[in-house]
Amino acid sequence: MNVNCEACMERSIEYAHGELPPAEAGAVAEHLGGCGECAMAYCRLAADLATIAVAHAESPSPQVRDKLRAAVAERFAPPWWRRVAMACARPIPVYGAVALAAIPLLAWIALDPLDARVDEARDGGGAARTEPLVRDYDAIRTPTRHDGVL
Amino acid sequence: MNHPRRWGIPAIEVSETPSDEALIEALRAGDLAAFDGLYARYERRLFGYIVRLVGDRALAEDLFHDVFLGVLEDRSFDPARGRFGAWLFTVARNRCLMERRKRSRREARQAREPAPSADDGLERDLRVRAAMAGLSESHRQLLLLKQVGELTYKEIAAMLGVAEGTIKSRVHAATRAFRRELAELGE
Repeated sequence: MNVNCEACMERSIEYAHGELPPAEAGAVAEHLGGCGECAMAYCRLAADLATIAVAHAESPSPQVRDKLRAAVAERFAPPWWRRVAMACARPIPVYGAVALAAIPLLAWIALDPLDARVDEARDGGGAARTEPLVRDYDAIRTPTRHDGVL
Repeated sequence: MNHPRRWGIPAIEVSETPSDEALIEALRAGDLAAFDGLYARYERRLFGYIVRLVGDRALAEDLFHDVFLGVLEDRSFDPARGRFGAWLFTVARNRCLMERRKRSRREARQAREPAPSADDGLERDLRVRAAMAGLSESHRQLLLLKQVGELTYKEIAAMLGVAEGTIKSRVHAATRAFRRELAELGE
């Protein structure tokens, strides 16, 4: 479908409002892409329409929000059993899972029987292993096998 | 609506913006964060619309509170029958019209020129509001519903009880009139 400048301008309001069927909207967009005059006119129209929303949007006072939120909280607060279910359904972050897994590991390290065995070996069983293998060795004395020569 | 559920609680998709309907469902399941999402989405548009209709900020704040809470509490909303936004603005419009009927003709005239608010100040905004004030009531209503409420022709037609084609031609006329007023005001 092709549109000329006249047809494009006729459809521009609907196009700006997003009310054109997809095929027509595509044809208008294509025309606007190739016609500077229509594109300029359309930009002016779109800007004028956009100012309506901007000029008329306005926030109520913060007290209105607080009051409304309190009323909503009062009416929509879930019962205790649902709050528990929601807490259970809440996904656990990765660092939380890692921290959780680290607790028993740390506890095992803190109470590790291996430490107890090492201590035990240091106090008793390991004593034999630390005794010198050579006794009465004198490093300055001449080796005995050279006694006859010297 | 298809939402992943765990133990009967609807979960909101984090990766994409949840629809209004998903937020409503989550709120009804007790998720107050869903209210915050809905409020942020409609706060400025809905309040601005109500202020323009009633012309009194204090009254508009009361109506805003009542309309928002009433719509959230009303469990008759069915997403299959239309968008939440259209329903919200329809309820707001009806409440405002009821309120206006209660007021005297003099007060209703004042509604056309709302009292300046904290948001006023930009010259362009003032010109736009002045141009809107220069339109007929029906044209102004149509442009507010279309631009501020972001309703479709079909939704406006359903709200006003007229044919969609009629709305289309009226919105065209209203847009042209608005641009004419804006041009006259030196835009």
